Amino acid sequence: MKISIQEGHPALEVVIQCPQADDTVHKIKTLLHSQNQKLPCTLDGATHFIDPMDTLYFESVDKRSYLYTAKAVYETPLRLYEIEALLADALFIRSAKAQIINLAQIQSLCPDFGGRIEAVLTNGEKLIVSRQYAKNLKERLNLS
Amino acid sequence: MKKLIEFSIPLKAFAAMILAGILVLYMVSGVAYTLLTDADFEYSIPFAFVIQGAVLSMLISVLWGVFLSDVLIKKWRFALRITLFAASLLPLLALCFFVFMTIPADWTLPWLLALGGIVKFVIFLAFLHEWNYKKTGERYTQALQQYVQRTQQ
Repeated sequence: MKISIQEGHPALEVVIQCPQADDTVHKIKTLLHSQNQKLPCTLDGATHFIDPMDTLYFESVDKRSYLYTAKAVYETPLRLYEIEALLADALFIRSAKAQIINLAQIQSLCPDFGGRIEAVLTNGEKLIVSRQYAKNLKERLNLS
Repeated sequence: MKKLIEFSIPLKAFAAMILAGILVLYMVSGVAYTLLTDADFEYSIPFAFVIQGAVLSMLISVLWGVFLSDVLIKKWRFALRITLFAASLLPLLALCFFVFMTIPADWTLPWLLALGGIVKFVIFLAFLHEWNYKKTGERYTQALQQYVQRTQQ
């Protein structure tokens, strides 16, 4: 893939030139989209816009969705499936029925009992990737 | 109270599973012994044996709950948990065999050797298992790092 930067233009514009819009091109597109995409969240009544890349994971508890960062836990009005669709990004993956994990925030992975995978996050927190979703993760990482 | 219930329900299920295993083992080994030696076998389980089995199951279950469930001990290594579980199981099983089953004194050493051998084997398997998980984990982590790097480029 050839990458070039042309300076001197009035606005930032990214044009992808390719023979065909394949998976790689779509991945690049979603990655570029996610650069500007901030998620609306609330904390102590105040609204914040959080960069998805700062998120450790998303979790749904009692029909409410929460966004976990290293510093705080925010509530987001978005449902988990909406977040999943919004972040159709190569770095986010469903790790359990009610959890979406940011792969860039995982420090280490270790297999666990029953085909599950234990993920240690950059803040030291441990999450379990359920057996159902461990298969997807392994496929994503070319491990199966 | 909630924590106690959370702790005791899996223990009850585990104890029931062990008791079922003991009863099945009793019947299968009894039938096999009868077939091999032409000895008589009473095709019914003595009530005292069921009670003994239940007590043994509960004790094993409590040890399992203490060492292997994540309720009481959360951060210990798996191999260490198994080692302590197996090491505490050895005197318990030996005691139960000698108290409940009235094993003759001249069988004491073979029984202890057999139990000790099984415990050592279990500990060996636990360490082998942990080593294997560690290596697999390293492979997974490496694949993850490569994936993240590739995607972010």
